[in-house]
Amino acid sequence: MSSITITDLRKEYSVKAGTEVAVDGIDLAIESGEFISIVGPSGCGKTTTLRCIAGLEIPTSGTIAFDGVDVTEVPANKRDLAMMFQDIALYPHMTVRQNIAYPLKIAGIDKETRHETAREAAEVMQIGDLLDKHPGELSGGQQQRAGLARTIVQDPIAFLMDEPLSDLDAQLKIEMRREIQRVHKRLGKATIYVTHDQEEALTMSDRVVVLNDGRIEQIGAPEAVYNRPANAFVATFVGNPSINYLEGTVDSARGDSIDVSVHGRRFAMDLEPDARVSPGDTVAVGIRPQHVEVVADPDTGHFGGVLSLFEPVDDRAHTTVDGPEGEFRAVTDANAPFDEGDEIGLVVDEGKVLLFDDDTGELLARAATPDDPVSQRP
Amino acid sequence: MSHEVDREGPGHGADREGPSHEVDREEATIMDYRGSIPVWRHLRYRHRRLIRRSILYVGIAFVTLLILLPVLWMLTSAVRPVGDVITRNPSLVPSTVTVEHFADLFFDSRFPIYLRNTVIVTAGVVLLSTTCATLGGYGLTRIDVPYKRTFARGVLFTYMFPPILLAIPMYILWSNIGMINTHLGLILAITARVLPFSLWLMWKFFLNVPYSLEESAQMAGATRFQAFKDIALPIAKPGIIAVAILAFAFAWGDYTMALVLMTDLDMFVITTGIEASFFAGGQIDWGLVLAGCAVALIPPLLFVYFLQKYYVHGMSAGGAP
Repeated sequence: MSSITITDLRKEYSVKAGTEVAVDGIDLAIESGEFISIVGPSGCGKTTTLRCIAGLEIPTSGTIAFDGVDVTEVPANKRDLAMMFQDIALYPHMTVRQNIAYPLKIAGIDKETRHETAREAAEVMQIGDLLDKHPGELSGGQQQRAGLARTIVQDPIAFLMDEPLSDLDAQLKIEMRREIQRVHKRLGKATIYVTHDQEEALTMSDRVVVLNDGRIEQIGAPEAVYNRPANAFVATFVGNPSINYLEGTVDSARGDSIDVSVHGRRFAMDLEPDARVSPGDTVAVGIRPQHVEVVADPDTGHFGGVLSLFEPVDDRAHTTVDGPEGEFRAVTDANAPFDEGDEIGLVVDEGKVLLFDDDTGELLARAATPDDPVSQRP
Repeated sequence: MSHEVDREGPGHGADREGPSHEVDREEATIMDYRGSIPVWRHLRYRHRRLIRRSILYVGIAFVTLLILLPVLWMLTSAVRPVGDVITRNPSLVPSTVTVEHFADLFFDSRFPIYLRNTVIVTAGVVLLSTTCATLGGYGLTRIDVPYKRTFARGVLFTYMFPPILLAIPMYILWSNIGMINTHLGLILAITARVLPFSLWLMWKFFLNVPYSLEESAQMAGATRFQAFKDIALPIAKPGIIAVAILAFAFAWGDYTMALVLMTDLDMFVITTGIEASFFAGGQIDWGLVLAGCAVALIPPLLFVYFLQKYYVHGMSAGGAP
């Protein structure tokens, strides 16, 4: 039962050339029991934000409060948080048992009880048979499990995770992702998860915070961040392969329906009610590769071009098409009958087009899809 | 599909021709040039390794002998009568074994006093320098002090001074503050000699202990000191032991500082004491000198032998540097 409130957090570092702003005024409220991801490119300040919450960094200004109590100046060891580090940070000179039991040892719990608790936690993480080994003898995945077990025994008010899975291979990553979610569901504590991997953030979180250059670009549920990005940065960062942008001009607007011409092609779209476009505007038209259909006939569809790259990924394939409008990415079936070098056509799903301001990158309008009433979402 | 098969057909053919062609050429090369291959290359790997190893071990044995022969000579001479020591026909194996020198050494000379002084001073130096080097090295890695890099390197520079250059000003300073002929005075003087390198060593050692380990301990509820004590210190143990061995070697074998700072015969250490007591008036009592040296050899041997075990153990358990 505890919420974490961050108000106008700012962190500057003094470097040789002056000061560098790592975090530039962040406001964030984390509810009890929530799984929240902070995602962004490297150097965006996500780890610094987490370290400020942990108490490992003192913010330059701004406050952090747990349940309304200001803890900005409280040292890390008094905050009752558990943290998982990128390098796992198991103590190499202790056995797995001692590692897991260490927080309890600090808490002054007697040896018998804390070893019993450590054993239980290890069993939950399915490493009950490794208790007497040293961390150096464990595989990467086992070390992750031991690290997670050590945070569990602490019974903290919230879990902080600083890119804990970034050093694992793809398969282990998915396995550990599931473990972390299992632990989260089991304990029901707030979890703040920092990652640079947008896919990780989208699959695990209740809410995603997209950070760029020390500022929050958007906070929202994964599907909202994906379907209704606040601006072009979020649209580009979230989603793989990344979104296509084409320059377009708004021709006419009749109520919620508008026509946009893009490189001589005309898109007729119904917009969501709060659209902010008027005829004559120049806009960046964002089209996700997933919302483009690749067809054999170059003359059907909105655009045509030469298929320059065909990369099968499981049952889908990422394609790159060179057309008169430049490079265009689309997703199609892996067994689609296309070869690199073929002339193909592209059909855009007009119900899923996003319109961004050409200068500021802000989302101006989103096509309304009958089967996807996003406007009703939070 | 059929189009693809057609396209691949000739390609496969070319592939098959390629390697076989190359095998032919390679065989011809070996046949043609066998005569000019050096003898070494004709040997099997197993034999080459055997020869390499043999040369290495002969070299090691030679160097070991070079180091150990004087020690062996000292040990065998310490247990033979003086008449056997000063002789024109020395033998490595003593004809008669006697412990009279050792008896004289312990019951009829000042040697026990010297030994006691050395043990006190050495223990003091080992304790003081490991403590200072550990705390100082940790501070240099973890706490932001302006110009700490320059400081760390500057400290190492003082290590270059020859001891006698330091001993004379130290004598003047020590006599002004009344620390001549005190154990503490000599402990401080030798620690000052040991500390620069030890500090630098510990600094390098703590640089290799990831800070995230201590941060993780802090998140687990440990105070900064607890994190240092529970995490950083055990991981840096091999470094601390290396410093202890270094300090022991400096203190046990110190001659210059003790000669200058300890003027009272009752405050002499073994190095200066053996000289003062058994070299009296040009008459060297070889039996006592060699017996004294033999006794002086034992503590360092034990110290290094036991600590080395922990040192190696710490290295493998820690997995650190």
